[in-house]
Amino acid sequence: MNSPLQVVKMALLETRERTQIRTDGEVIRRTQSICPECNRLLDAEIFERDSKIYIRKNCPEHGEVEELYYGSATLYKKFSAYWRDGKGIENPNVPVDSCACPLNCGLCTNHLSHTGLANIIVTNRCDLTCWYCFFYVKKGLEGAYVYEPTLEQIRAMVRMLKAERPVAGNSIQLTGGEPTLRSDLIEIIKMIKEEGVDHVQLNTNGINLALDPELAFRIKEAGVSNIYLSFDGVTPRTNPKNYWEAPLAIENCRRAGIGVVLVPTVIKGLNDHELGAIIRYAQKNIDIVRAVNFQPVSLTGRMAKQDRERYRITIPDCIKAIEEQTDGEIPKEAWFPVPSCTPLTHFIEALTRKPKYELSIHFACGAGTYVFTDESGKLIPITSFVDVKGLIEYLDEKAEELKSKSGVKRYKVMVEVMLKLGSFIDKAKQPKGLNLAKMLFNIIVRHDYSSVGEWHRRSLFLGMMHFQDKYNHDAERVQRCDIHYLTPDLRIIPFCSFNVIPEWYRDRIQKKYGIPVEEWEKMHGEKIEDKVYRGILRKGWSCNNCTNVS
Amino acid sequence: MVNQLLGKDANAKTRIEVLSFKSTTQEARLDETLRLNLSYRVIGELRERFTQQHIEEAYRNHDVDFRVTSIIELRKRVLRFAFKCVKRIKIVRKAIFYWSRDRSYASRIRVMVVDEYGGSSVVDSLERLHSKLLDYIIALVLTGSELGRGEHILRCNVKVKWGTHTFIEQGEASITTQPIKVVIF
Repeated sequence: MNSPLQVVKMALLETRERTQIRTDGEVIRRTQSICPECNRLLDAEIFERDSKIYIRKNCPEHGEVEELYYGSATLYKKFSAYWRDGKGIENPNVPVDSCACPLNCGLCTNHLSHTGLANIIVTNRCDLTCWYCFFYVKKGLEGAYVYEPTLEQIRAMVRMLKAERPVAGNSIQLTGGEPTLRSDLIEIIKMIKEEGVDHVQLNTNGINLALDPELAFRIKEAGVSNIYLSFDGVTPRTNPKNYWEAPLAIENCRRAGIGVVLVPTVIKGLNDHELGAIIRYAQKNIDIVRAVNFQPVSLTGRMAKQDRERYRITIPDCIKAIEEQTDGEIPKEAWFPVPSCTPLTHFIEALTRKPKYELSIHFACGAGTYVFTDESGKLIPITSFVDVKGLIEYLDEKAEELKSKSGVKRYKVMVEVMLKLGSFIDKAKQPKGLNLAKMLFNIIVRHDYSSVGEWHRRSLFLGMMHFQDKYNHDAERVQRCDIHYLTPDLRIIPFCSFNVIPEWYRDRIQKKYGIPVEEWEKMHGEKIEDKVYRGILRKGWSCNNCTNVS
Repeated sequence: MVNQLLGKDANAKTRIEVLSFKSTTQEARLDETLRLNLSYRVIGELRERFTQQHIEEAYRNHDVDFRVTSIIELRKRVLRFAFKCVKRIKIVRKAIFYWSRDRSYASRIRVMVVDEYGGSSVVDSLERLHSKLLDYIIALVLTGSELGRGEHILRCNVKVKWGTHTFIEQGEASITTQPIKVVIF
């Protein structure tokens, strides 16, 4: 077994040839990336030009690629201050002597974050055929396989996740394809709960939740914590996928008492003008919508530079659009990078002297904020009544202080912190009925899943997660990824390896553990396309509870 | 424990060296802004322990960030031997140790320094790290009215403190500057 972070002396894999990278703009950081054409590992530079951040790499065979990395240099620099490497993995599945990200993910010795959220693909069949989706089985294509791991395979994956050290995985997302197409979905959920996983999230387009009002009750009873609902916009034009169905799916979740996270994939020029409206929609449903998690599009497959420039949007661009589209109610200052919450983890670790769940992803991968709503319907970001930066700093300082204390002195520090918490909150500006100090107190003292749940029930979390593609790929981000895939060969693969290089990971695994479409159809006595949704709701079918977005 | 390992008493040897403490003007009106420039550096054991070896050892133990806090109190003389605090500022700087894929650098563990304004920069040498983390040029800005009319003897108390890390125990160092005289009219 490895001790954490024994990677200090690990060498980087030497690539065959090094090429010169043309310098243009101020180089901020040097990293490694891959060639979008041949996947060759390349040196890369992150640099600033015209107040934006770009990545540039040069393949000896396929030439130079330059791509927008982050839409604001100011925000990049602000967020980089929260960079914290994680604890690493004590028991990696793939022992390596030299670091070769992303060649042998699984997790390897050199991975720096434990699993924050583990995806399990329960099927790659889908009832929709969205043009930009890279994930569903496309009948007729060469090498089209149906991938549906068995219950036993899924159990083994879950056990592997729970065996991860120093922090056991405790959060699973069932994904697809469309996971509700699995007839044994309820059994899968129950089995995962039996294995002791606290958080089970279901990633869905919501079609079946809309069509079958009982489904939400069944999955809630089985143990699903929340629905991760694809939701690309508030008009039929921006959200042809489930504009008519999402409201009904949400209503059915409301009746079943199951929280919903709206997940818009943001594409420049297509739906980036509706980010504010999506938040307003979530606000209207704040009793059941827990979060909106914006995902700037990952440009998969080969794409010409002009097309990439047309569709590419990054986290700062979305933050700016949200500020504009909410009339400044959610300013850019309200956002913090995901690793900014590591001081809270470090404080609790210092208190308990046990390794805890830590969101140590790369600062450029994700950002978030919490908003509340006041009586007039205005959105109140947490930063308008909490000195978030000051609180983070304070916890950071106290975590350090706790490390050097023992016995009663440790409790003195803890009491001091508890008494001080309220001073970071402006109670006059705090939304009515909210006792944030108490909620924070519970998180720190009880530091359990239910305390965090209470926080999320009272607020609306706004998140951003920018998954990579071959053009903006940064191996330093992959190395710190905490959103992983569990696979039947008992590996744990970072999201941006699994999906960015499908020929090495996703497609290979699905082929190995899947069966040809024809064989699946013969086995199940149905055609793949039989389950494709034909849009009956948009064609006029309705029920009493159907209320559209507009 | 750290000191036993290294066989030295680190904190006793860490000290602050004041390079200068000056006012940009000797006289100012009540409504005028007074700017006092203070520069100092932390020298001795703390500075010396920021070596690549110690940084790597810290990283190995998931000791990935180091914060150093300066508390500066500007004091004015109110009685012959008594001084009263007229301004207090707290400055926090951090060194963040991270695993880098920059092949132009021999070691994998690099350091990013976050300054008191939240700005961050990756340092390319230990000298640069020492300088960015432990050398300070501070401007104390106040209006004449904060001091009041009359002749004032001012000095600064500077305290620097840090926490326990794999390469150093928690500790602090402090110093008081030489007094300067300003007149507010």
